[in-house]
Amino acid sequence: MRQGTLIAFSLLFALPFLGMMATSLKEEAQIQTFGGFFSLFWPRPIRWENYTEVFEFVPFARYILNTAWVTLMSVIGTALSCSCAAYAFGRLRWPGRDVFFAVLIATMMLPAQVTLVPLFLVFSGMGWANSFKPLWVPSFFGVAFYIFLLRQFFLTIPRDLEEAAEIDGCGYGRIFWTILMPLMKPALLAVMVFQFLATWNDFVGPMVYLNRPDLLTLAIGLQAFRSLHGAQWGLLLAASTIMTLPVVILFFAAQKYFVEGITLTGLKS
Amino acid sequence: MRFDRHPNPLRLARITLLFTLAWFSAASLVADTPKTPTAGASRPPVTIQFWGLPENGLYQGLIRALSDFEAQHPAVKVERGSTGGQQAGMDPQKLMTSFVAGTPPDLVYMDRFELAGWAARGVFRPLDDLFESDKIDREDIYPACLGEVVYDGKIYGMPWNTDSRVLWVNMDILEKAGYTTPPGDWDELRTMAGKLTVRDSHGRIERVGFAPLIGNSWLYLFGWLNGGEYVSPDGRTITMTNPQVVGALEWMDGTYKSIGGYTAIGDFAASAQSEGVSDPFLAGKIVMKIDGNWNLDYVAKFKPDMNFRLVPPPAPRGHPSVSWSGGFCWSIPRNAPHLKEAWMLARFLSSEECWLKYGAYQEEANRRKAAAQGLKAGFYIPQLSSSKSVNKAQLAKFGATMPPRVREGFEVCVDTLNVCLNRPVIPVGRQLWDELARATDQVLSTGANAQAALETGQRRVQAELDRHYTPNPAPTFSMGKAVLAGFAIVMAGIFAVWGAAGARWHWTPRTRAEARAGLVFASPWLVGFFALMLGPMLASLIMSLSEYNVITSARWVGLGNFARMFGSTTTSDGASAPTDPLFWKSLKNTLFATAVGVPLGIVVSLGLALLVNKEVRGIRLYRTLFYLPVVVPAVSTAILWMWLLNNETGLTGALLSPILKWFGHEPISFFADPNYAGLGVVLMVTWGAGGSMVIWLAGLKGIPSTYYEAASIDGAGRISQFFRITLPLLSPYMFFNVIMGIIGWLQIFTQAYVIVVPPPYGPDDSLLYYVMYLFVHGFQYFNMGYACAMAWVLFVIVALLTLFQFKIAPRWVHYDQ
Repeated sequence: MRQGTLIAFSLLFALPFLGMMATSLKEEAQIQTFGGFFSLFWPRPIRWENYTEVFEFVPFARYILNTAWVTLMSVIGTALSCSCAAYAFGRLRWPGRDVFFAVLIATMMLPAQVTLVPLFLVFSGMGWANSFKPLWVPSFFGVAFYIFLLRQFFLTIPRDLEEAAEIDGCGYGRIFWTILMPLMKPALLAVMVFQFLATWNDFVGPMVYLNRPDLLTLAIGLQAFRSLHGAQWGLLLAASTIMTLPVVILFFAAQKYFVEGITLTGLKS
Repeated sequence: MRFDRHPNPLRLARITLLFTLAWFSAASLVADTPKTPTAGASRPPVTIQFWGLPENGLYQGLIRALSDFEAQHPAVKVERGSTGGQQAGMDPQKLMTSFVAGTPPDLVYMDRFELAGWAARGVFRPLDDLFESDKIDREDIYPACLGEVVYDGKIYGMPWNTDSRVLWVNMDILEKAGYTTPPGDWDELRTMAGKLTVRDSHGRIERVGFAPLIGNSWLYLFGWLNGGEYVSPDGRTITMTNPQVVGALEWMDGTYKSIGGYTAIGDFAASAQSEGVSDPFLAGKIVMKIDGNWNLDYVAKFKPDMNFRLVPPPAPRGHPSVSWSGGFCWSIPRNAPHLKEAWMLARFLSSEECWLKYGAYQEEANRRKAAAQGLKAGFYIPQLSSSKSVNKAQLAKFGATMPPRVREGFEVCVDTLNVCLNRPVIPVGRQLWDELARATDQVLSTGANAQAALETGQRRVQAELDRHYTPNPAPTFSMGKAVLAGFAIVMAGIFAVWGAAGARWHWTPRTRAEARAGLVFASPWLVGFFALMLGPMLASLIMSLSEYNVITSARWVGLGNFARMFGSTTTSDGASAPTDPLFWKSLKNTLFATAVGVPLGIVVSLGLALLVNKEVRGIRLYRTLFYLPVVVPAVSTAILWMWLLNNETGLTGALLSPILKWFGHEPISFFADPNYAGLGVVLMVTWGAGGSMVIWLAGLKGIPSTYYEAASIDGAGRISQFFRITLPLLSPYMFFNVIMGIIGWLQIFTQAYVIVVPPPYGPDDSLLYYVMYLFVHGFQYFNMGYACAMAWVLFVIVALLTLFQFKIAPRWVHYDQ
């Protein structure tokens, strides 16, 4: 029964992706003409050239490298800074903690659109415009969303563990690294997957900060397949498929750790 | 250790303060004074920044021609900074940020229609002197193209490409119906539209004879055809409500009624998609449409033998036929560092030589592509140039290889350019366009009265225009200095309070060690907050209290923006109406989406997580499949959803409509019906529940299995286990998902932004969300002050909701400590 439900629901959820893959293999003429629901998922004939043409059209390989670099750095930065900050907010007592936590939440409440111009001025004042730095350096200063998430995670973990460690004379750094870090793996992994996807697909950041064509990223590169009055849908969706594959593979692989989870049972006793 | 002796343990904090201040003051110095180029110091080769050219296939030949320019001018290198952008050309955020940071491009590919708005605020340099010294023949430029770059008597751009709108007629269908010639005037057009529209046995529309808005026409064109004007000759008075424009809108409405109504046609058109996706004209589903010359390319590509004709748009009897054209131009920002070279490039790009090279490269690429596909010859259908002589040369060079009827059509488009008009060149052109489109939508989709709808729009545009020409008498001030001062005060306040809190802290060796560790671990975020977030947030707060467009000086208006947002005005008939009804509408749409989206998202994502939390065969694949909708890039998601939530071709047509029909309900057209469009977006976003699913999964993994074992022994069933163990232990995550769901939904932007082609924002503005509206004000209407005020109102709303959540949290959120 569970298998049946899983199959039905997962198909429903995979529809946009399947539609994208199918359309990425279609001839432009098939996309242009009317077709029913099933025609959306059925390329006739299959046109693999869409995939080779994507690489002729724009320096796609260059974009992949650029995007990979920015993504790698910001995932590392996020993982380090957010886990640390979450530990401080979720586990440790220090003056100002609760007020700063409220401020942390508040920073998420103001739409980013209105801080875009001042933030640009800060970065360009540092001479960072037209470089990747504005896209990944901020992640080393923590992202409120993930800090909040990881703090919630810390709050669900029993305190007994650390108390025992403290009595054993463990410093806070050691407690964080040797006891909490392993426990945090699933949540931290979720954060890393989120950040990977957010940076990988980010459009506004690269659009505002990068000018040189050799610095552009995938999300910007996709725009090359659109024009004022339409788009080359076959190529656009082929490029999108290429773009999403690394994320899909990463997600598939990262699951081992989600599943592994944590075994608090042994620790509790 | 010094730390221990010191009464105030916040040394780290003070370092942060200094560091941040230094950083921020450096940045703010740049803010107020755009860098002026050091004249004459240019050493070869000079690299010029050239922005906005779309990097798509249509422009590959032009990009190639740039290297010819570099070959001719060895001292100049051209660096393209393309943004792709929402449509083509510049993204307003990018142009705005680069201009105020003093690092603008040298040359910009600018939509002429947007030019006046930027020129009026001093972003671009007048080019009259350069036109004069180079003796540019203004007679060679079509009046509509030149007219659109002249603002306040000065030329702000070198017109480049253009387009023209004509009536496209499928002659085969016309002849079968007994007509020999295309319609000559509005009456004939309407009669033929009715006769050629065909329905199937269920009454569903199968073919449309003619619909005013299918294609690319807009009220602008019909108003002009009817002899109307939108702005008074002096450019100070909006005349949207003149009888000719009202009459044109009524004619459009009447024509829709005569062919089965706007909603039915809209549903039909939504399934038929717009040009380039699945062109209904090529498929014979639309017999006549008003559309632009760029469609010739699709005909030549996909149906070169089609029997079609292009004629100038029919006008009411006794009126001359006119049309309208838009297009792009080359413009130079006022503070661009390389004026001479930029102008050289603009001249080159507009030259006949470059146009023909561009075409030759494009044609060569087409031929190569055709050969690779085993087709015969390639062809090239050029873009239309703003220059008469260039179009003549293009026709002479590329006309021979075009399919014969396409060539005829191309000639008609070129000829029509002589009778084209351009949209009024006013500082609020964008608002005028938006309000005309909005009034059209109001009349056609909600049955509003044409006069009244146009009057509402006119009032709004006129107010914006007046605000521009009659500056607020409030004093101007330097935004950079104000922000810096505000920053210093707030920092001083924060550290005073923080220090006091530190002094009150109960200090023992243990708490000291813990506090020190806390500060160290929190420091990345604290530094980031002070250095990168506090300043910009404060800046937006100060902007919200001023009339500010980011480009010219700010004026202190106190709570003026808020008064405008919440205030009301008296209309011409004496009634009271909100000053900004769209603010309320966007708020309403957003609150609705939040109210439905947050609970739905939580139920669906938690359901998914529970479903995939068991180890069964292939579970990793299932989890991945559930996660898939999240990973597809937004631009692609948009079109896929238009396909999927469609009654003709989509999931709703295949699954939902039959179910609804069984219940005796009409099919729902998401995105075409104002009552369901919002729901369509909620569904679309809920499809991305795989993101939250991951959070729930992480939470579920943290629940010790012993709890369940113990409960099983006690004889608790699955359902009672879920409510007694799972849900309480997941409550910290539930809390997180509720808070983040509210914050996320109230700020919904991208998902909705990619599916609407504004304006209007969905039928009856049903997809106008709060942050979208704020974005429009900040970056398209040059009302950043107002946008910031809106942002802070939203901030207060979110803060109150979140505070409420935190207050009631202790009652239902269980933390294990």
